[in-house]
Amino acid sequence: MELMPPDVAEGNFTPYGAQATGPGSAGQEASNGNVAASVGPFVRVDDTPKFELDSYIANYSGRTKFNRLFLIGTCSTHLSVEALKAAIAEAKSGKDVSRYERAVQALAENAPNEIEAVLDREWVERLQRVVRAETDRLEHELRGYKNNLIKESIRMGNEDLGQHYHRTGDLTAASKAYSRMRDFCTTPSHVASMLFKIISVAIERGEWLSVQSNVQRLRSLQTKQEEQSKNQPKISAALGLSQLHSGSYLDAANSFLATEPSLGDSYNDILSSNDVAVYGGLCALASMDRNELQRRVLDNNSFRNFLELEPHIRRAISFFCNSKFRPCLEILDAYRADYLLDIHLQRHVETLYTRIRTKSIQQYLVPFNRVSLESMSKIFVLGNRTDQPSPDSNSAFVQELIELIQNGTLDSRIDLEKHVIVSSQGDKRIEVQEAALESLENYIEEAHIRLLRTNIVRAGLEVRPLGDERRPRPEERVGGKRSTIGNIFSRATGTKH
Amino acid sequence: MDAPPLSQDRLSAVLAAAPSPADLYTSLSDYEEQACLIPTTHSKEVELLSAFYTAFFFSHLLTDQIEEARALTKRIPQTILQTDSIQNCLVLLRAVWQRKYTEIYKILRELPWPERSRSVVQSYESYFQQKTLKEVSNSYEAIRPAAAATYLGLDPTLAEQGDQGTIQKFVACGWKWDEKTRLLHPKPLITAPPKDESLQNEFGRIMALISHQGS
Amino acid sequence: MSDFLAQLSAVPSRQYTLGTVSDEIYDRQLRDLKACFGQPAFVPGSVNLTECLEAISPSIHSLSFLCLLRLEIQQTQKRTQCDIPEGLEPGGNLWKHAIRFLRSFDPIQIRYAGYEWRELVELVASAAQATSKPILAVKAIRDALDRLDTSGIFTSTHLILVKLTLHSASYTSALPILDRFLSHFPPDTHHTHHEFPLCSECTPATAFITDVPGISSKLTYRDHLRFFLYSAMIYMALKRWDQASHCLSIVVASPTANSVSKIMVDAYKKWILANLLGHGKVPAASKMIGPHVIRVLHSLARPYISLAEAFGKGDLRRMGAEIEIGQSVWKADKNTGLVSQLFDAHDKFAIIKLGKTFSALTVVDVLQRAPSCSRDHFVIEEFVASMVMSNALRASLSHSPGGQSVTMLRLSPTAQCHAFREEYIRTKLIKGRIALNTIAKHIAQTDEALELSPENLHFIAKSQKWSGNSEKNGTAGAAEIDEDLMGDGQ
Repeated sequence: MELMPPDVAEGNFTPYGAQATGPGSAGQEASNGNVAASVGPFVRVDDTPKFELDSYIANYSGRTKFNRLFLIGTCSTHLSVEALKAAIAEAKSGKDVSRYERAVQALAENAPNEIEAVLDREWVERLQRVVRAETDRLEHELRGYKNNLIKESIRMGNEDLGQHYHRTGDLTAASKAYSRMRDFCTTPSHVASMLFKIISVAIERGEWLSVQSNVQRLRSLQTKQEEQSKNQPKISAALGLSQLHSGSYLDAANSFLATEPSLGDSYNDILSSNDVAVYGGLCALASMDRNELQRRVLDNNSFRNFLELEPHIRRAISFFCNSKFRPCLEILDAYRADYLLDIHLQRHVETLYTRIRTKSIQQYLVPFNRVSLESMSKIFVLGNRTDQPSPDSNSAFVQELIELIQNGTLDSRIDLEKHVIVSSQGDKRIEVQEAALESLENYIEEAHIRLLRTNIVRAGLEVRPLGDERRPRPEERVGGKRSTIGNIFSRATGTKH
Repeated sequence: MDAPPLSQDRLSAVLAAAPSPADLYTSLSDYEEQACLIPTTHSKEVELLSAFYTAFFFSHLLTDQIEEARALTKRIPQTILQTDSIQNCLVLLRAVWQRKYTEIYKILRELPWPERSRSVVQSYESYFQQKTLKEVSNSYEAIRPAAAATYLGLDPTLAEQGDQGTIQKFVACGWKWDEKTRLLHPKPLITAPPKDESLQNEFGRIMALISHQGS
Repeated sequence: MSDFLAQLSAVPSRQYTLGTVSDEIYDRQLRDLKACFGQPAFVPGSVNLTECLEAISPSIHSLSFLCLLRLEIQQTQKRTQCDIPEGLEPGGNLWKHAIRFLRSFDPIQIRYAGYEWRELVELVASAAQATSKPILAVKAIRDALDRLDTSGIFTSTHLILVKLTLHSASYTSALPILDRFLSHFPPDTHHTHHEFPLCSECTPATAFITDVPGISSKLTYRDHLRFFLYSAMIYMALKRWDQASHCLSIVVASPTANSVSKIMVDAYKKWILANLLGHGKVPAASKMIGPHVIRVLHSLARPYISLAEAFGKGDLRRMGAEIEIGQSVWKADKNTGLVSQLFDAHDKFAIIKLGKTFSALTVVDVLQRAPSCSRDHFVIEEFVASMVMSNALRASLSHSPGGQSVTMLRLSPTAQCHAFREEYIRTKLIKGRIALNTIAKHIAQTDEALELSPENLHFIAKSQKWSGNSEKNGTAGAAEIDEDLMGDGQ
């Protein structure tokens, strides 16, 4: 039986502070007494997303359902009312009072005239009573089991309590209760189930370090073959999720690519297979080159199953691989609203999209010596294709290129006379000569200074503190100590004896 | 070792004898100590010193030592500094420092320079013109005639009107005149730096070996 | 009188004689002659010193001339009760003799009268200073140093020279001396082992400056720090930023024993400015500077550091504000002139930087892309043109046809531009090679003086454990001449 050290990520430790206070992890704050309610939405999405809210949300189960609905409700202008109503319904079917209150408040702000926008006080009070009674009961039971010292009962008691806390939205308490199970697990599958529960709470709390460390524990667990193959997809997906959130997009892509298609809908309380396709596809697009994308994504038989669920991601990737950057970027742009309304992608959409775009521009320029800004903007300036005047030096696209050049991403220069971008083929010959000259000059300077230093010390002419009879003027110095003069002096003249 | 005492005639002789601006600078700077010892109480001496410092000042400009020329103006005794000739030098220094071409030519041509200084002023004017011509030739691929005329101290209005005389002067330097665009296309003037030492060859070989594909 | 003159002329400079006097004999002759002047009865009372000075040549009988001149000066000083008697003032008789001597003496003979030589130099310097005409002494002392050829040894005369140069604002006059590498110092103690007589051509300068006491006055650490600081100021007046920065680095990286000199702080401040003006950025401080020194420098040069930050970020407003706030600081440090050049330098480097992003743009674009401190549309064109024409910016300009005045700035280097560049690099490489040879020679001399052999170095490198040192061992190739090793080498 594995002995588990206390989890570093438990308690109040939130490694991704910025992410933890946004709606991406909205579930936690109310229960932790945080300021979630006062934090406005991370983005406002005015475009209509492509998905149908009903069928989208039907993919999920458990607490993520409410969290996703609430996020859509607070961020999207079009789906706001619909999503918040669904969120309220979802909350009312559960036992978490605080999320019901938050959903009602959000709806009241957006559509105060809706019937649901009025708080159902009676329900709230009744539920609070029920929850309190249930908490008391479970705690009492657990105390009983503890007195009897039956491991299995204590484990189950803690599990029940954890589940109860989780359902009622007290994530801190839930996490603690689940963690207390560890000493009473007797089989590897118990440990695995406990770890999954901890991971689930950690994901909701946005504690990605905790997710990662628990995933590692799950991986090193010796379980039966069939159980392992059942757990693998969930482990990979959870790991990928945590890597996505910590910004390691290549790692995240690798994790999602390694997720077995047997995941199916087994992890619906966290993410769906569609999500794996989208997250994995975008992370791969943002972090891999064309060869890798072809080999590891498009030609990947197991990941193909996921991609079939989201065919546009597959299309975007194959467009990219075939250097058809405009259709690729257009697809991504079309789905921008969808991804901005995704609980996990929201904060990463901009970064991922920028990286993909930058990579496209880089790839596009590879074969050319010079490209006209006009033909480039035909590809990279999305939007209305017809009324595009030839880009002037102040257009956003040219500005974007300038920034890419200045931060070293593009090794090119812009010619504002002929309106072309020229790949800078620095004259290697001159460069070598300049480098030689520079190192020669540096060498001479440094050698000279070192030589002087040696000879200064030899002649006993170092800068000295006060008190030396040879350099008596006090105003010439700034803070000196007397203590080591003798030592230094003997050192300086020492070689001549 | 001891140079003959400084006098107006001696100064004229030095000015006339110096084969190159660098030589002129050297021989005049040898006289600076002497100049320093000449009292500035009599008008005759003031006149001599004024002429000396004017010539010395121009020898700096002729050897492109503008920073040192500025330092020189700080060394000139106060009474001498007040003379017209030196005041002109100060105005010229400022204009050269700021590269005000129109002003430079105007100062050189129109300010009242003493008779004895005329030759050195004129030689600087032609030196400056040549120097600017080289710089313009190497810097501009196409230039409007008015701008070129300003740089070289010709009449910009005439040049703008396409005055044949002015244009011909440029064409004589190897520039091309494009009647259609009304632009001059200067011809780069590359002066080969002195190549004499054996070291040059040695490095030349190494540098030639660093080929374009070399790295 | 004629006997006396004959005595004085007994040992002529070997440059002017065809005789093959051996080194030993010549050495003895010179020593004897020098000793004669020590005897009070040597100069007959009847002799007119002034006439004698006229009669003998300072270049052939340098030793005699110098001693006679000294005698004459001493007598005049005694008679007039004045340190700088009238005759010694610029233009006076003694002055003329002194200058004539300093410009033509025989450097070999002077080795036997180092003290007297220096005394004369100092007298000339103070006489020139006293009459507020320092310029008069600058060239004479420069030529004297040149004749003496200290081959890389710093002496007190060097310091006198740079001081006079700064006072007289005749910056270029000192360059022939400044442009040489100084690497050695007259050692603390004298060790007298003579391989060759003093007069031998083979005697290295390191030996005679060591063996001839008095050719340099007793030095303190302030002397060499000041020398390099003043040298840097001369270079800065001539806008030769690279050399200035190097001299200042020497001061800042000077070895210290738990103390930081105010001169170092001044040098550090100027070093920041010189680098901003010369390179548009401040490089990392040398690894040779001890951390405690860096701390002191940083805390005392704070206004300069934040000014450099503003400059580096291209934050014009902040830079203006920093300059405004620091007015009294710049003034107190006498750096107002340098600081006022920063605006131009900023514009210059901002435009040069454009070459990394653009291969061609209009001058109007230049103003937009590289916001300028104080220039508008018309002035910027002049400024850009002057940069191109003075080769500060490798680019070409082109006026567009038609009425509207569009000037295109093409930053892509042309073939012709490359030819220029290559020639320039080649010249600099050749200069570097010569400098490298000089340095290598100096290093070899130092090794010899320290009696270091490769085995020594190897042993010392291994056993180098002395920890109180301010210096981290550098990574450069010159690390083996690190001063550290001397502490352990004894």
